Amino acid sequence: MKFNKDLGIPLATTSADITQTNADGKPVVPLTQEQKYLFDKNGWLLFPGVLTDSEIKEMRDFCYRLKHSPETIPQHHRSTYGGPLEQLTDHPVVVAFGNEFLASSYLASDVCYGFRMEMSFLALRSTKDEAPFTFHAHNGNGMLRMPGDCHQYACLPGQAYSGLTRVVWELNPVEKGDGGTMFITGSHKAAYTAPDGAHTQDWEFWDTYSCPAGSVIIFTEAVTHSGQPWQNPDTDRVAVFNAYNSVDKRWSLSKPPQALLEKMPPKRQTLFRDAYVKGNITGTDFNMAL
Amino acid sequence: MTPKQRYLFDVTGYLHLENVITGDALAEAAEAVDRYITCPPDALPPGFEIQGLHQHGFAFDKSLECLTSHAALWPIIKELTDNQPRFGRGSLKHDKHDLWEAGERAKVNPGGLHCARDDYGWYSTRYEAGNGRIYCDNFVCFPYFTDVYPGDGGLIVIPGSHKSEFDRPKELLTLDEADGIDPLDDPVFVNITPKAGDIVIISELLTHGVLRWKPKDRDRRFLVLRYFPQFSGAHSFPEPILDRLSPETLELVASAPYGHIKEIVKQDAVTLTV
Repeated sequence: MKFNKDLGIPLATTSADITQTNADGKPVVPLTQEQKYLFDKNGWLLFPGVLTDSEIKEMRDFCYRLKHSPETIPQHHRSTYGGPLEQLTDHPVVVAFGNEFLASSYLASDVCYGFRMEMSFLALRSTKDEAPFTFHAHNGNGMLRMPGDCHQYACLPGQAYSGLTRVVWELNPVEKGDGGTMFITGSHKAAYTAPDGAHTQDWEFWDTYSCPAGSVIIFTEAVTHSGQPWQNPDTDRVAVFNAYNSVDKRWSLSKPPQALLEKMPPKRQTLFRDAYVKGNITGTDFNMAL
Repeated sequence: MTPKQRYLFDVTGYLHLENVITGDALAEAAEAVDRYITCPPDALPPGFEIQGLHQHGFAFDKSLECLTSHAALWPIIKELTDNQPRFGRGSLKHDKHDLWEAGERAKVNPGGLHCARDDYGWYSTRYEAGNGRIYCDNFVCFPYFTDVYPGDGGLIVIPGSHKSEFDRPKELLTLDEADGIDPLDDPVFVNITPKAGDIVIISELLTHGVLRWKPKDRDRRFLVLRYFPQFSGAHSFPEPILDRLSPETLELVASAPYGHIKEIVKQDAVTLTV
């Protein structure tokens, strides 16, 4: 149960009631109990094989063009907010996750998301990188952070708040050992300082994943994690790193180019609205009792 | 409790202490375990009986009794109970391949997943971190006397589940229909594979279960030592078992008021005097 701001009166809305379609009209399927359980327990969650083969190919090609021939892309699409990647910003899986772990129900409507998008960048890594990506463990202990720190993770029976949340779209297959993102599972709830071993890549408590192309990994930035050098000479890592936050918080100044933003459907535009609370909703009146 | 142990127990809900019972201590303990297991039921000393587990196995021999306050466990026991420990129960588990049969229980809950939250209610058991220490009012230590290898079966745990705030889905694990007993392998659980001389510690809030013991030429032997705060509950050991215990163990078993510090707790290491 969640309370509204007045005298302990319960909120009238649950995550399954808000924003049930994305900006393209695609239905949002609420997270299953298993997905909620696993994310809360682990701090990260893999959704394997979300994108179709044609979507993957189009997006992957776009990523290579972004890196190697950006001049072939219209200026306002020249980022991971643009081109075919735009549809990732409010993919139904992302909206389902945001509704459960980020959204304020009183800041959401049928035409307005209850959470914000923070940033987006491309990780195109190969074994030929002149400066290989380096292992760098960071974050953790999200339960011991005060509101205002975007790396906060909060939970109560049956509900949790993920704070700054990373959404990684893997557009190529990733096998264990290839160099996917690494996690210390459960460390978003850690109460203690990590031991020295956690600062080394071969520590036995680092976890990672394998997944087919078109999968998405969502993790709270409160969990201890790290990138690592890409190891597979037969394929590159082509990953789009997006991030989301609650409507009242802003971690970065990243935003799509204005020309792209103006062409987005109005509902998608609400992902990029300013960070504040009172009245920050479209499609219905601001009402914290919802 | 070392900082590394504290971090790992806090994050995962369990600890695996490797090779902490060694040499003669391990040999004598393993021999005592064998004696209990091979003893005909009608020849068991008073107080001992087999009801699923070999009851009160810790008290069968001093080499087993001393494990209740083993040097590797003692600082952990003291920390988790805020220096107010009570030893509540200590059975011996003897797991064999032919003890397992397919049945309704496996279909309903493959792996037999459970935890204190399920068994006793969400309000029953505490796990907290504060003042740089962990407090856990219901935990179990498993000293092992035989080896477990990957693929053998045995203890499974769901790391991090001791802090879960969402209900575990009832169908989290899927029964391997061909097997009829075990769940299909799933990354959600870890199969812990201790060797003889290792000790595994889990919070009772950690969701755990067991896989069928698969080897036909080896068995699995370990103690199940349960600890609680001294101010909560009381033991139910029968008199013949209490009569066998050393003064130090009797003090560890005893209930006591809040704040009372037992004499054994003042010791960095406990040695049984009798």
